[in-house]
Amino acid sequence: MKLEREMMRGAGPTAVMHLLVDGEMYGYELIETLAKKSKGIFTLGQSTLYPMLYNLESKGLVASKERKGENGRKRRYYRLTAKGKKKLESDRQQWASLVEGMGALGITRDRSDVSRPISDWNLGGATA
Amino acid sequence: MSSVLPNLKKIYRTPLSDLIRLRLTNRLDWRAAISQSELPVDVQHTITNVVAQTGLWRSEKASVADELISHFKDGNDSGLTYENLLNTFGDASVASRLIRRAKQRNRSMASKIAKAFGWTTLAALISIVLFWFYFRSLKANPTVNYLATITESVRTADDDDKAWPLYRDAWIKHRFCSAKEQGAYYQVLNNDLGRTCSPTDDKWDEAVTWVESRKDLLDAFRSGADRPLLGIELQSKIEDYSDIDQQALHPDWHDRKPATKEAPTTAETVVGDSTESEEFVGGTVIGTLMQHIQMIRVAAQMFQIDTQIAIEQKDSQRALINIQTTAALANQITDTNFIVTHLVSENVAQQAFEQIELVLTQSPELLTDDQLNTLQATATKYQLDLASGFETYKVSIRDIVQQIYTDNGDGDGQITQYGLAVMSGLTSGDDKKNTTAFLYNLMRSSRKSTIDAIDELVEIAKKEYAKPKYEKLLSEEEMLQTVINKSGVNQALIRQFAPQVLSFQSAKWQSEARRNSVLIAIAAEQYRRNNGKFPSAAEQLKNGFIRSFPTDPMNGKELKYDLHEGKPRIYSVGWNGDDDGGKLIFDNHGRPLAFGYGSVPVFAEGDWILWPTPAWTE
Repeated sequence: MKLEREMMRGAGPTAVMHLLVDGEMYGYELIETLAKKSKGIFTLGQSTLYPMLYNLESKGLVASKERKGENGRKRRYYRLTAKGKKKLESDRQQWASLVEGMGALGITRDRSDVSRPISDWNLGGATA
Repeated sequence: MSSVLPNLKKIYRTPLSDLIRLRLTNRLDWRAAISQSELPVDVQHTITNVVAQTGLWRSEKASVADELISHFKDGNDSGLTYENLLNTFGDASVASRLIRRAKQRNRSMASKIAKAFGWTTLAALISIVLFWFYFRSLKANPTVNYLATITESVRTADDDDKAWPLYRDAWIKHRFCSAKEQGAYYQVLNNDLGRTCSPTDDKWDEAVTWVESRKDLLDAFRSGADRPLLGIELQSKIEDYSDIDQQALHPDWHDRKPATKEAPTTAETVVGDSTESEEFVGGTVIGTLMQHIQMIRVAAQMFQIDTQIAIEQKDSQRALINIQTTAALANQITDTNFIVTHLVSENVAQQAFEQIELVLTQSPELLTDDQLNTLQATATKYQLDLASGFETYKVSIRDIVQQIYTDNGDGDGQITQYGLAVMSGLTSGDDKKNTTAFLYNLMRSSRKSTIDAIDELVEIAKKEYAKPKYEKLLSEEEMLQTVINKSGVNQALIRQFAPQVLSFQSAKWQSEARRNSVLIAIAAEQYRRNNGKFPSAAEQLKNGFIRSFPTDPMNGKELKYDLHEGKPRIYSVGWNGDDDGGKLIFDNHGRPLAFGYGSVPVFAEGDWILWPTPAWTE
């Protein structure tokens, strides 16, 4: 399942910053890792990723530097800044609250529930 | 040349940081980077499109291009086909737009400020260009012939009141107004000190011959002396004069071949140093042609010389008529009421007073008692009426305004480009040094506010002019500041046309003082004839010889009278307002002064000897 553009706009930057917590990454590496780790949910096209990275850079949340990689190819590597770390922490808390709120409403559930009929979902007291 | 061009391109495409290190890296040539990337053509094409459409700076484009190149290569290395990567790339134009926005946000504050400054400058330039076109389209539309209103009283006067028809033929015969003759008159009639020739001058015989050979010219003036008006219908363009007036007033121009009759040459000598200002004055009230008033002054000098001859020939009637004619000329030339005609009138009147002095000091017995009484009446009658010239002055300014401002029909408007050019040409001094401020000052004032301000200034000037010297007087700058502060209109225009009240006041006081000294001297002569000797004090004249003893314009008290070497002496207390016992005061050239306003340091010690006129020596 792929996220719609509006959903991606809100979640994408947090996801990208999260990936950079462990170290610097270049553009394609981010796309590939994000898709892999999110099991295909966060599939960013180049036309989305690079503007997103430039935006994060303009806000001072990430920084970039161009250098040659192990295979000798010139790449731009992005890393999380101190300001980015703070922002990521803030985003995490907000996402946790959001998931909790959504869960309370019965909108988000265990993925195991998805295979069951919707009439069996716990929708917070609402009847199907 | 062929090797220079690529190097120049390389320099152009090398970042400044590399250039400083003297390295020509060509790193900013992003198109070359894409074409050399060994990526498939369609991928290159997509990257080129995205990068080109961003419209970013060259360095930013190079960075984006590098990143996209490595992106596609990394994707391919990870096992995806280029076709697959292109399919997941997304919309190229959307990518360009988003990249542009993000990169622009990423720019430094300095570059953002520079960009804002650039746009602001561009907007300002466009505004200026638009305003310039609008400004060029503004045209004045003069509708009132102000010169006609000024000369109306002359045009509509009875022909029998005009002296000009009696003078004109003699002027034509002697080419009185021609440049050649004018030069000769000044040369022959003035001595080395610039005063009218007298018998003690080397040139005296030449001057006498000159005057006597123009006897018919003097007779023509004498024949018109009883007429109140001069009667010339003044014009601002030579071609507007009748043919006969052209012959009399502009003989050089009249005698030119038609093909060489160009724009009036007089305009060049009036005011202005720009083409617009020269053309401008040729058709306005301030460009009114008045060569004749200079020639009236020449005529007054001729009469003074002729009066000296009459004294030697003991021809009292001729001397009397000469004085009366000179005084009449002084009155006649003010018929059009220009301030300048009043100022020249004052000068001509001085020539009449000088002739009276010649008669009374050189040949006291020459005139009969009746002739002396006539002389007294003539001197009493003359009064400088410069105040009435202020109204003509206002009209002159209105004429200028209507030619340099637009007219919205309600008496308001704004200055035109032509008007600015004219004013730039007319102005001088401090205003000229700061042209921008000068033009700005002009442009921020409307037609109406300018007229109102000038009118108010003239009214203030009139009041100041009427004051005697001993009252508190405003300086010209104080008058200007009063109006400028109140109206807030253009200083430049007002300063340009502010009446020179100080010199007008000076002329008035000088004229009054001199005339009054002449009246006292005539009264003293009458006293002498009755009592066998001159009065020793002013008090003796008050008993039937003079109605009210004239006052000194410098202190408001009576003019000083005493006997000096047995002869009457009349003087003003001068600048310091103190009676220094008739001590002479000298101008900056060391010449004794009859009246020294403006020629000597303020509050200088000494008195101004009005009668007899102190002799000038080398």
